[in-house]
Formats: sequence, structure tokens, C-alpha cells
Amino acid sequence: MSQELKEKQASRRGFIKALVVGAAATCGGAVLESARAERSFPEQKGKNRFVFVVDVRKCIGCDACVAACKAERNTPLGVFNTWVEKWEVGYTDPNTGETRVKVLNVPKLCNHCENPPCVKVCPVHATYRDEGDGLVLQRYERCIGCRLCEQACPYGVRYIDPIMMVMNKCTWCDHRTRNGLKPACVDVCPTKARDFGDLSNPNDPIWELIKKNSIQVLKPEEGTKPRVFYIGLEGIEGIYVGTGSSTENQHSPAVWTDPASGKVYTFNVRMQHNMFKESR
Amino acid sequence: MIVTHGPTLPNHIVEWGVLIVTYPYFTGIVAGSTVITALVYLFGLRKLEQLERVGHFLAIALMLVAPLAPMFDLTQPIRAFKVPFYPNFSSPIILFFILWTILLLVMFLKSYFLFRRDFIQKAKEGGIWGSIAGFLTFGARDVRPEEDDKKVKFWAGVSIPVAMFFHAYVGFLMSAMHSMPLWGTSILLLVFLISAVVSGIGATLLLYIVGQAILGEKVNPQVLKVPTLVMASFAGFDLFVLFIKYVSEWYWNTAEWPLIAMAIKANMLFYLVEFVGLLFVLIGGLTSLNSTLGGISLLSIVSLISVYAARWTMVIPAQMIDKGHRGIVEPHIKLIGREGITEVIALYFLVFFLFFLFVSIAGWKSASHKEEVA
Repeated sequence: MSQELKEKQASRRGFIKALVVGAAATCGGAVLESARAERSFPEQKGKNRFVFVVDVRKCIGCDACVAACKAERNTPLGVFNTWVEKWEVGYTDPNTGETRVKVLNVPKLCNHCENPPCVKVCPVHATYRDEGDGLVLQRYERCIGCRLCEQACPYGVRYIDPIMMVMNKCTWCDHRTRNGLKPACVDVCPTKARDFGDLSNPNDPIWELIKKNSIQVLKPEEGTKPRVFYIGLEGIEGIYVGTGSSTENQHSPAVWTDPASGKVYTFNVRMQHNMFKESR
Repeated sequence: MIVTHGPTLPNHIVEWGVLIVTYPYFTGIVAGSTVITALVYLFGLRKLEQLERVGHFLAIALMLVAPLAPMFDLTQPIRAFKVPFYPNFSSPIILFFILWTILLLVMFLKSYFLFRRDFIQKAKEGGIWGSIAGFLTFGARDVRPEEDDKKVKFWAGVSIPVAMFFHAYVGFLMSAMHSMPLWGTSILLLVFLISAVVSGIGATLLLYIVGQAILGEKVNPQVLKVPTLVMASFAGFDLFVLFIKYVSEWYWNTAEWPLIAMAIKANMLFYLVEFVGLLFVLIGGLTSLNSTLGGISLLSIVSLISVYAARWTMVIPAQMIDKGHRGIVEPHIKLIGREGITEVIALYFLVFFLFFLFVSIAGWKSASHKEEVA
């Protein structure tokens, strides 16, 4: 190899080395900067342990909560932070043994899970859980709109905001609850079917409600540890997912038969929000 | 308008459409084409070198275009660059960035050593392509065929598992959504990977045969018999895994099964194309079709169509099932706009543009091949 070629290669090697060092420094700087940005994000940790209680027995399905939420959060058309489902459940009256149907109004909203799958899958920490008060919240300016949280949420509460084009969700009205108020939906509920409280306060009336009643949660099998506690779904939530001898029915997938009496029980749900989908 | 069957939750629509169907299709071909790389560099089938070269061009073009599909899906594509700056390492999307970067580096290193001789030769010819090729030699213009070949072998060996992981990640991402019926199963990863081999070999064979025909070069179908047999056997393997998946779903008969059945019925055309196509590739690939150019071309086309249908059946039906498990929502496929068919067509054009660009720079045939012919 000629001297000239050797020198040429040496200078090239030097150039590549400088390039690699420069690239490493830039990448390192960017990572450190992002880590710093992560730390400097205003911490909103509080000492509260918020929980939400829904008493299904009291809900009359007036949708005042849905309207209040729309007004409070200025939610666009076609998407909802909360909604009320109508369930028709067949059951056997324990006193008379007759088959009856009862209609339940089941309000749904974000469960602010202790183990939230939406936080786990968010690639940019746009969805995060405040470990202090347990609220699962969204940083709108950071969200990239990949919809992964929507796919991961078992409760279907996440949606893309059609105006901001970022993911949005129910926040349990953090702007109100962190200032001592209750969420808008709780405030307007005429029958007190919705209640909200702070478990870190031993004198909070929510404690009495939880201790007195049997509490159910939605989809406990997902392991998300939801913090919306339901009263009045005992023996219902959980039954419709998979017990009994189910047969296919196009509009009410779960139909089961009481093996003792041969009576057929149906679980039917009517959703009045389907019509809003047309606007999306 | 969004069409629903049965009661569905108010926020539920099919968010991921044709773009997200296209993304694993592209990455699958990248992963699948590395099987030919394995045949050439690991199993020593040097007769397939030219085929491998075409597959490599295609793989780089697809690798560069594939991320655009999920980026277009974001509606504001530039937001994707927030991910490396605020990474959440528990999110499966981070895996994409890591694997894509590694694969891109490996592919470029392999390309450099694979095409160096071509670049050197082209640089001597002058002109625009010559000066581009000259730049791509990065100043190293001494010819060292044996050393280069060793390095190509090494980087080709590295690229195979990385490309496989890169594609399998899509299956992992979807199976991580365990609350979604049809997705929340780890067999999904295997389904993605096996069908990828079918489409990857199919795409490479088809491009090679068409390219040779355009250039007026002869192709010996006997040389293509091995990759065709591999494609056919993987089609059979894919059918087997799909059979296990759907029979298990049916036998478990969970509460979601009626909805899964509804979603399958709604996409029956795609399921039929997938299963019949794969069966055709399996049977055709084992018969005399694998010894004629027309037969191999037909098998390749069918493999590409059936795997596209397979991608559809992996991505769309699961999203149709409502989270309330009581109804399904039909996908809303648009011509223009987010998740529009126009965007997908644009991506295909971009892939072919890049493919022709790479072929123009490095040449359809390798320098060593030209020397042998001379």
C-alpha cells in the first residue's frame, strides 16, 4: 500500500471517528434533554386517593351526567367521557321463583385503574398516572395520536378528540376534584347514584358507602384494578361473560338457560348513543 | 356513516384501517426476503445470488417506506419524532424504533459491502449515476472481493434474525392488547412471522421474474424451485397455525365467540382469499407448477394476494368487536383522508420508485456476474 493511500485512509478514519463521536454526543444530549424534560414536568402529586362509586340501583337513566360532562369538558360531538348503558337482565325472583326482567341503568366512565394498560402502552408518557391521587390523566401537547391506548383500554373509554386530534378521556374532573369540588356528573346527579370521595380522609362519607354495600368492579379479570366501584351489579357483572350454556344470538350474544328449571335468561343491552356515531 | 350491528359503546370505531394493514404487509416482505438471504449465505445456494440481490433492493425500499404507514395514520406524521425524545420503555412502540434503527444500520452495512464492487465499476463509467455510485463507495475504491464477501456473509447473517424480530414485533404489539378478542393470544406473533415468509419469497420471485423478462434475460425455473418449495411449505405451516388459532377460538367458546363469529362473517371474503390462496400456494408449490416460470409467477401473485388478505384479517376483525362485547362496528374505508386508500397507493408508488432508484444506482446484475458472463 502506498504511503499516500495510507495517509488518505488515516485521514478518512479520523473523519469517521469525529463523525461517530459527534453523533454520539448529539444523541446523548438529546436523551439527557428528554430525561430532564421528563423530570421538570410539573408534578401534580397530591395526598388524595380518589375513588368513584356508582349505585346502579339509584340510577334512573336521565343522562343529566352525560350532559353535564359535555358542558364541563366541552367534549366534541360523537365522543363521550361518560355514558349510561341500559341493561335488561333476566333473573329468578328468590321469593316467588318467577322469572322476571329488570332494567338497569349502568353509568360508565374512566375507571382510573391502579394498573392502567393505557399508561403502560403510551409510547411518549402522554398518558400518565399520578401516584399521589391516583388520577390517570393525559398530556395533550405530548400525545402523538397513535391510538394504542384506545386499543389497550378494556372499557372503551378512550377516544380521539376530533378537534384536537389527540387522545382524550374522562379525568374525573381533576380541575374540580383537586380543588375540593366533586366531578360535574356527580354534582348534577338527581338521585345521588354517582358519588365521589377521597379514601385518604377517614371521615369522608364515601367510606360509609363502601363499607355498607357489596362492591363490584367492571372486568376484574383484566387485572387493571379499576377504581370505579359499582353497587347493585352483584351477580350480574361477570355472569354475562361466559357462564351458563350460551348460544349464539346476533343481537344479544349472551343467552343462558337455568339447568334446573329450563328457563331461558337473556341479557340484553340497548345503547342509545349509537346514533351519535353517524356524525363521526 | 359508521355501521354497527348490535349495541356498541359510544366511542368505538375501527381506528386502524388500510394503512395499518399495509404496515405489517411491508415489514413482512422485508422479513420474508431474508429467508432467501439465508438460503444464499447460510445454506450456500449461490445460484440464487441474483434473486437475493433483487430481494435486498426490495427489502431496503420497503424498510424505508414502511414507517410512513403508521406515521400517516397519526394524521400529523411529524409527531412520530416525539417518541425517541420522550420514550416510555414499557410501550411496545419503542421496540419498533430500536429494531428499525438496528435493521436499517445492518441493511446499509450489508448493502455497502454487497454493492461496493458495482459502485466502483459504475463510478468509472461517469455521469450522474456514476458520481452517485462514486460517492457511495465512501472513498474506498480498492477491489477486495473475498474480504467483501466475508463481510456480506456476516451482515447477512445478522440481518436475518433482526428482520424477523422487526416483523414479529407487530404481532407482539397486537397480542399485548389482551383485552381484544382475536388479538390477545401469543400465537399471533407466529402467524405474522410465518405468513411473512410466504409473502417475502413471493414478492422477490415475482419482481425477479418480471425484471428479467423486461431486460430480455433468460431465467432457469429449476434454479427458483428451492425458494418456491420453501414458500409452499411455509404456506402449509401458516395454514396449520391459523387452523390451530381459529379452532381453539371456536372450541373455547368464550362469551366473545358469537362476536368473533360475527366479525369473521363480516370479513368472510378476506378469510376465503387468505385460506384458499394459501392452500393454492401449498398444493401448487408441491406440484409441477414449481418447475415452470408461469407457474412460479402465478404462485407468487397468489401468495401476495392471500397474505394481504391475511394482514387484513389480523388487523381489522379484532377491532370491529365492541369492548362492551355485545355488538360489532364495521370499518369505514375512505378513498381520501386519514386511513384512505389513496395514501396506501402512494406508499406502493414510493416503494417502486425507491426500488428502481436502487437498481439504477447499483445495477440489476452484480459486477461479478457481469465479469463471469464476459
